[in-house]
Amino acid sequence: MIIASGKVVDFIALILIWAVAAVFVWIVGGKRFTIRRMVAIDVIEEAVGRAVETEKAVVMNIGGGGLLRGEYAPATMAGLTVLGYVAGLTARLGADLIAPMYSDGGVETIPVATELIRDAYMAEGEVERFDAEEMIPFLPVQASVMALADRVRPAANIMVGYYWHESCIWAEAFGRIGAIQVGGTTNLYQIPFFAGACDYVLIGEEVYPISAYISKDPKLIATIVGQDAFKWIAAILIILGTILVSFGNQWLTQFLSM
Amino acid sequence: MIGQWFLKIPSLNELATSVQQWGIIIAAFAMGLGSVNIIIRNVHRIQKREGTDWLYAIWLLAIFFLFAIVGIGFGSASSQYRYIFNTILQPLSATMYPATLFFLVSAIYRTFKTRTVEGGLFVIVGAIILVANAPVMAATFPFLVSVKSWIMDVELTAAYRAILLGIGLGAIMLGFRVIFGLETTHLGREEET
Repeated sequence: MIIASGKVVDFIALILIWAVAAVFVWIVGGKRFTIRRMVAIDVIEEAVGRAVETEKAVVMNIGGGGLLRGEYAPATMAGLTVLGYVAGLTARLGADLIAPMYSDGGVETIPVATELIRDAYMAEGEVERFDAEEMIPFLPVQASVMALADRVRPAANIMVGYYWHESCIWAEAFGRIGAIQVGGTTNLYQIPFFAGACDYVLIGEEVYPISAYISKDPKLIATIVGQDAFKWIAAILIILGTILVSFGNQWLTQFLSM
Repeated sequence: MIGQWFLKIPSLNELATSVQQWGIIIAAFAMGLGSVNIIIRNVHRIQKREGTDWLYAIWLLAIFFLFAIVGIGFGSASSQYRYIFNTILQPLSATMYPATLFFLVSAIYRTFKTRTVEGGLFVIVGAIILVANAPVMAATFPFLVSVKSWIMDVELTAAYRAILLGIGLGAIMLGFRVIFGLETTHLGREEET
């Protein structure tokens, strides 16, 4: 067989998932679908508004995953999407934005973030307010981000990306000074820290459809519909598998291991 | 790359290796670009000499060039590079880890002041795990260990797997959006609709 042993069902499933998504995007069309409300994203505009009123800054952090490591890059991309959105809001509403770049995140994210923020300020006609050195400081260690919290005392701290143990340290450092906090990561073991220390949390997969939610692009929303369809299939397979294995039938387990 | 992972076609392996090598080269350029960015910004900071930040910029550049010169000159596997890594970077990084404890305690304290139902559940479960992990409490109330095991093995594992499933599907769909050019917001470009 041309497909590697043990990967047959995985390969077919991947093709099916993408085929279903393609049907939803290009044949069914995405206009008929709506995406559920994501409070953690909705609250960002309110947080930026509060920053304007209190004349404090907004800190947006995209974590330490970087763009070069495949397993962490998707979360960083989601973080960059939120960064672009936050930069647009701060440019439009008149708040100061600080987007610290952390060395473990890979220095390659710095030029991308710089262009992203410049684009957002340019789109709002506020490019003269863009100052890369002030807005995008390079903070090589966790402690420097904590020092930033104490020094700047921002009104809001938004953390979306891939985080390790710094999730707790940073969320707590910004929480202590009373900043509104939004946290989101795909690192399973750090989600509880965000849940404990942040005001609003994006749990796991909620990080990925942010671009669809922010842009309201029907095509992007349609891909979420395809994703949800397969979540239902996975749930059905789990229930079916549990029942079959409980009765000593290993058929489904063997089929999925093909 | 997808084909190389799933299919047994030798020519795909060669192609995938070639793509991976290109990936490494592009990644090296991206790292280089980022490094140049850091140097330019810190040189500007030193030139401006505002506040005390420029002193830290000097320190940052000194350490940056120390690691770069030793790494490029002797190789990252050399004893010289290992020496500066083990005596500078590792102890400083390790120092940060114990600090996590104090932030964890502080975060737990703030979480325990919660007033919502979900927050209450979070606190109860957290308290059970915390107490059951303490040897004195586990010896005094052995049933707590069973409760903790049930929470960890059944409730927590089920929730973790559900979240993992969602993350996996989400990543697959993000890959679809990126490959077919639907997802461009992370690059700062607006998709035409």
